[in-house]
This record gives sequence, C-alpha cells and structure tokens, in this order.
Amino acid sequence: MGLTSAWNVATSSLATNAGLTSIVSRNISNAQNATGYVSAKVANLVTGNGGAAIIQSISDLTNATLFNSMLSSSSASASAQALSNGVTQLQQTVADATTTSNATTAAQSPSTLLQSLSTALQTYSSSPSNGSAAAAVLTAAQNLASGLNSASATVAQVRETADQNMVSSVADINSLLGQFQAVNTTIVQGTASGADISDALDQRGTILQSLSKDIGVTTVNNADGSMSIYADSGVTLSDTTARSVTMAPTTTFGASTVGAAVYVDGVPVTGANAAMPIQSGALAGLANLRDNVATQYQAQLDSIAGGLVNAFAETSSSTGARAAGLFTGGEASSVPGSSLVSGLAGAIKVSAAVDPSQGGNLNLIRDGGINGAAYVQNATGAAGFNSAINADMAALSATATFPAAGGLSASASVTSYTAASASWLDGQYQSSSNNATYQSTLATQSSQALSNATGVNIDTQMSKMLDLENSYQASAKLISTINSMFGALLQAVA
Amino acid sequence: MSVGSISSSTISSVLQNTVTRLQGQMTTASTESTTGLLADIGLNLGADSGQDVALHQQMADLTAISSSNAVVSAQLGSASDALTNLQSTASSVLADVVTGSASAPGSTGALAVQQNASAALTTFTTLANAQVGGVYVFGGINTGAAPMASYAGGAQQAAVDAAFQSTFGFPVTSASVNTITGAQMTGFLTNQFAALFTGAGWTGNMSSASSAPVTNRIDANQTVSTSLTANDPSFQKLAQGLSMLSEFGGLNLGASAYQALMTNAQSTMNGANNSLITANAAVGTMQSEVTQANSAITLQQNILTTQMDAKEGVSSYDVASQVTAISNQLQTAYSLTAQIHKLSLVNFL
Repeated sequence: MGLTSAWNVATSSLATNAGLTSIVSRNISNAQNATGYVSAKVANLVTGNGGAAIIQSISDLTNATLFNSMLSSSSASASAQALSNGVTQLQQTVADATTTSNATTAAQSPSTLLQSLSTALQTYSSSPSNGSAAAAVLTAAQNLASGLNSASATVAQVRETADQNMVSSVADINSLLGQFQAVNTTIVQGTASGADISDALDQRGTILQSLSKDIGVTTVNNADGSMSIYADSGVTLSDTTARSVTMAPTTTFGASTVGAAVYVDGVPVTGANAAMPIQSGALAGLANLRDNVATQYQAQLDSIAGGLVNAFAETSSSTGARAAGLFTGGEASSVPGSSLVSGLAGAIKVSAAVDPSQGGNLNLIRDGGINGAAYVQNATGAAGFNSAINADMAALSATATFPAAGGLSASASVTSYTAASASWLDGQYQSSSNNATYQSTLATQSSQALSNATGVNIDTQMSKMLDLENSYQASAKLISTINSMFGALLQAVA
Repeated sequence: MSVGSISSSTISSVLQNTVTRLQGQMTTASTESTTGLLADIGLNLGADSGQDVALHQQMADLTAISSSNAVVSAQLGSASDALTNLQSTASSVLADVVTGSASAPGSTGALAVQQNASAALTTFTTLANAQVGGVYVFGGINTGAAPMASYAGGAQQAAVDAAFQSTFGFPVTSASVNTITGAQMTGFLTNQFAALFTGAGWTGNMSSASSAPVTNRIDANQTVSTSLTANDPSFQKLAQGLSMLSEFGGLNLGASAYQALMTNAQSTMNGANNSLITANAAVGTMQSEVTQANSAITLQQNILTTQMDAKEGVSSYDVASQVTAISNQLQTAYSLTAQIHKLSLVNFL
C-alpha cells in the first residue's frame, strides 16, 4: 500500500459519493410523484480494487405482495366506482320519491308523479263537473307520461355513456399493453446486459397500475425479467406480445338494445355469453351497469308504464274488448296485460282524445269513450258521474300481475310497484355507493402500505445526504492531505 | 428501509384524505342541520326507502281525500240546510191545512191555504235547486242541470189539468167543479193525481235529477253515497201535497169534495213532513260519516308523519354535536398539516 493507492481510493470514493448523491436526488425528486408508482432506489455497493467502495448496480425497493394487493384493490375500486357513478345517475330519477306530491315542486320520479295523478283524480271525483279539475288530471297524467319518458331516456343515456366509456377503456388498455410490451423489452435487454433498469421497472409498475384501473390483472414474472399479464378471469392480455382487446361501439341504445361484448384475444369477457367474464376494473363495472343494472331498471319502468296503460284501459260495452284509455303506448291502443312491452316507458303518452289542445275532449276522462261510443260509460252525460274516475283510482291501487323481468314482486298494484322500484334503485344506490367508498378506502390503504414499504422518505434521504456530505468532505480532506504529503516528499527530494 | 417506515407521500396524503373526508361529512351534517332531514334519504335508507315512499304515497292520498271531503261537506251542508227549510215549509203548510179544513170552500181561509201552498211550491222549487259552485246538490249524478222544474205553468201543471179534464169531463176552471163528490175527489187524488208524482210522470214533467246518488271516496277504503236526489219520496210527496192544495184548494168545491181534498192533503203533507225528517237524518248521517272520515284521516296523517320522521328525520342535537366534532377534527387536521410540514429535516440544515 502506498500513497498512490490511498490517492486512488479517495478519488474513487469521490466518484461513488457523486453516484450516491445522484440517487438521493432521484429519490427526492420522486418523493411526491403523484402520476404513478415510483419506488425508492438503493445502490448496491461492493468493494472494488484496492478496497474502494464502488456502485455495482442500482435497484428498486420492491414488495411483490403489497404491489399485487395494490393492483387488485385498485381494480376493485375502479369497478365499484364505475357502477356507483352510473347508479347515482339513475337514482336521480327517483331522488324525489321520498317527498309527498305537491303541486309547487317539480317532481320527476314515477312514484311522486303517480301520487300527483291520484291526487288530481281524487279532486276530480269530488267535482266531476269541474273543468279545471279535469284539466288538472290531464296535466298530472301528461307529467307522469313525460316523467316516464325522461326516466327511460336517462337509462338509455347511462347505458350509452357506459358503452362509450367501455370503448375508451378498451382503447386505453390496448395503448397500455403496447407500452407495456416496449418496457418489457427494455427490461429483458437491460437484465441481460446488466444496465440500470430501475426506471424501466418503475415505468412498468406505473403502466400496470393504470391497467389495473381498466381491467383486473394478475401478473407472472418470468426468468428473463419479463412479465406476463392475465386478466383476472385468466385470459392472456400480454405474454411476449400484447393481445388485442376489442369492442364494437353501439351508437344508440333503445330499451331492448344489447350492448356489444368486450373480446380479449378473441374471447368474450363481458355480457351474457362471456366464456371467461372479468371480475374487476372499470370495464367490469361499466359492463355490469350497462348490461344488468340499467336494463333491469328499464324493465321496471316499462312495467310501470304497462301497469298504467292497464289501469286506465277501457272495456267495450258491446264486445267486452279492452283498449288503452288515458295512457297509450305510442300509436297503438293495445293493452299490454302482464307481458313486458320493451320500450313502453319511452313511448307512453296521454291519449290525444282527452287533450283539448289536440282537438280532444276532457270529459272523456270522466265519461269514458276514448276509443269510441262503445266504450262510453256515462251514457246520459251526467255532469256528476264519477264512477269511471273512482274505478280508475281503484285500479291504481288494485293488485295486478307485473312482468318478471323487473325483478320485483310480480303481484303488486301500480302504486306499490313504483314504490318497490324506487326502493330497489335506492338499494342499488346505497350498496354500490357504500361498496365504492369501501373499495376506495381499501385501495388508498393498500397503496399507502406499498408506498410506506417501497417509497421515499425525504428525511431519510436528507440524513443520507448529510452522511454523503461528511464522507465527501473526508475524502476531499484525504486528497488534500495526500497532496501535501506528496508535496513534502517532493520538496525533500528536491 | 425497514418495517415501520413511512414514505413522505403517505405523510402528506393521509392528511389530505382526512381533510377531504371531513369536509364531505361537514357538508352532509350542515345540510341535515338546516333541513332536519337526512341529507340523502335514498342513500341512507337504501332498500328500506320503499316503505318511506309508500308512506308518502299514503300521505298524499289522504291529503287529497281530505280536501275533496271539504267539497263533499259543503254540498252535504247545503243539502241539509235546504231539507231543513223544506221541512219547516212542509210543517207550516200542514198547520195551515189543519186550520183550513175548518173553513168553507172558497172562503178567505180556504184561499189563504191555497195561496200559502202556492208560495210554498215556489220555495220548494228554489230549495230543490240548491247548488254549491254550480253543482246542484239534489241532482244525483246529473249535477249539471237544475233538478226541479217549476210547477206553475210547467209541464206538470198541464198534466194535472189534463188528468182532471179526462177524469171529470170538464176543466179545473169550469163552474161544474162543485158537482164533484167527496168519493170522486178522493178517487181522483189517490189514483190519477198521485200517479203524476211518481215514476215516469215525475221524472218526465218535474224532475230532471238522476236517481243515482253521487258516491265519493271519503277515506282510503270507504266509498259512500254522498247525496240525496230530488227523486226521493220526500220530494215527491211534498210536491204532491203542495200542488194539490195550490191547484184545487181555491176551487169552488162542494163541501164533501173540499173535505176529501183537505183530508188527502193533510195525510200527504204529513207523510212529506215525516219523510223530509228521515231524508234530513240520512244527510246528517252522511255528514257525520264524512266528519268521522276526516278525523280518521287526521289521526292517520299524524301516525304517518311520525313514521316518516322516524325514517327521514335527524335529531338536531345529534347533528349539532356532529358538526362540533367534525369542526374540531378539521382544526386538528389543519394544525397537524402545518406542524408536520414544519417538521422536515431540511428546516434544520
């Protein structure tokens, strides 16, 4: 060992110090990185030539268990959030169901509008000769019909938005899978050549994190450093090459429109025919919203509309035939009975025959005869005739049979069916909202756990920096001391 | 890094998340404290909200019934007043008949009875056409038309005159009326004359009321008749008695025919008086049904309100203490944020 050797060690110490300082700055700069997953970097130091410490490689702090739990909780949270957002939008159509009908508030839920109609009918029944009471019934009936129309439009819009979001989510997944493949290649090459791949690993983590929001994933690490991704149902998303995820957009949603399925690598993963249905991620939540929850609510709205047409249907005194009365499904005068007429809630309207602004006669509400003379109940035209009105009110609260597609009790009155429908939707609203809150808390906690285990603590980095500062000063002092020793030696020689 | 370590991003995000959550709770609590109701009833009640919706539907139904009952009550009240007046008219005419039967035919006393009956007949028509807001209360379901036609100069008087002519062979105005015997008069009054005040004669000439009474739903599950029609026997008898006196009371009849007329008039008016009392009692029963229904509705509404409050209401004390607690927590979170950000090694270098 000589002075030269000591000089070399001190010099390489300066270089190592500079390298470590750069790691500290990298860590600090990423301490609050909000865009994605960035782990703390640590240097692997080895003893080099002459006993000098040199940086052999830089690696990430990792924790595979916490990382996977972060991925799965972020998928579950995205799925719950997507469903909850859609259901919240649907729930707006019954948000006022828990208020008592009142002419001064703008009601929109089927149950409140039905209350208003019953109220108007009750008033009309006690003053059947009163034209303004008849007009109030007409207005209430029109409001109810347009309330059902707009609720049906809301369902269609929620389904359409879900479909659009699914399409953009699919595009997102394809782009992420493309990026993933590129990063994977970098990592495989870097592993083979021993280059610093820690940034590439971070990037891969960030991509996985984004991907897990769209679709639930499981990952498998391969021996060459590459990673394979599978959807949570087991379909391969990326293995050496990225697989294509496809979905055909649906432009308009009618009541009976079935949205297109998402295919991964040619296998359907959503919808009724899904061979391997995905469980989590925004895609799963949106598909559930579009294909199950919203369609069930649509069926309930159609059942309510059908119940209304039934309740107000007229019976012919000559043939006994039934025909749609105050409420009709669009142009037809057919009565749905207990079968589901898909889209009836969107088409239901008040018969033009009772609307003076369309050339109709308000008295037909009291007298019957919307479908012609054979259907008239008040043959003498008595102004105080109210049996038809009383019968209408009784029909609204009489037990009838409803289609099973709504998923509610099939034996109910129109009034109780609207309450049950609002209740069902509120139940969905509550459970999806609670689940979204719960999953989001879980996701926050698991990402904090991951961050705590692998993230950067600035104070730790700062104290490291102090160490580095000291060791840099010491190395510099060494160099200057060795320099002066050489100087003394050379002076003595000269 | 070892177990138990914490990252800088966690330190700052934990407080951020806490503050966001607390602010959300604060909004909810302040909404609840101003309205006294749950901020989001659907979210809080979930699938239970169906019961709440049903309570509101019942409430709206009962409110509607109670306001339509007000209309029914007004109509019944007017009917009851009219019947009371009719009954007092009937009893005063009855008293006249009792005194008038002692008078000689064609005398001043007899003429007074005839004139009073004639005036009472006009009153009868007016009272039978009683209306509330354009609704004729004795019209049955035919509330749009005045139920009672005027007797004098109307179809009924013509029919009575024709019946008289065809029975006796001379008109009412003929001087031969004094040849009618008591038995003939009794026979005419109980057969040909009386027939004009029932059935087709009545509905054809005098009454355009419908025999079908108005029925109304006065409570959630109670639909009752809420009117008396002008085709009720009390109206027919009263009209019969009054027109009998008005038509024949002033004629120059023979003594026996006059007595027969008076006896018949007395029994008819007596019957009319009694059936008017019965009719008024029936209307009174309807009124009391409506009153009872109204009290039942009020009771039910009180119960419904209690139940709705139990579901949707929040205790103002609870909310107020919640607001205080949240506000304390928020302040703690703010001061912690400030202190933790001061606690950086950077500040000590």
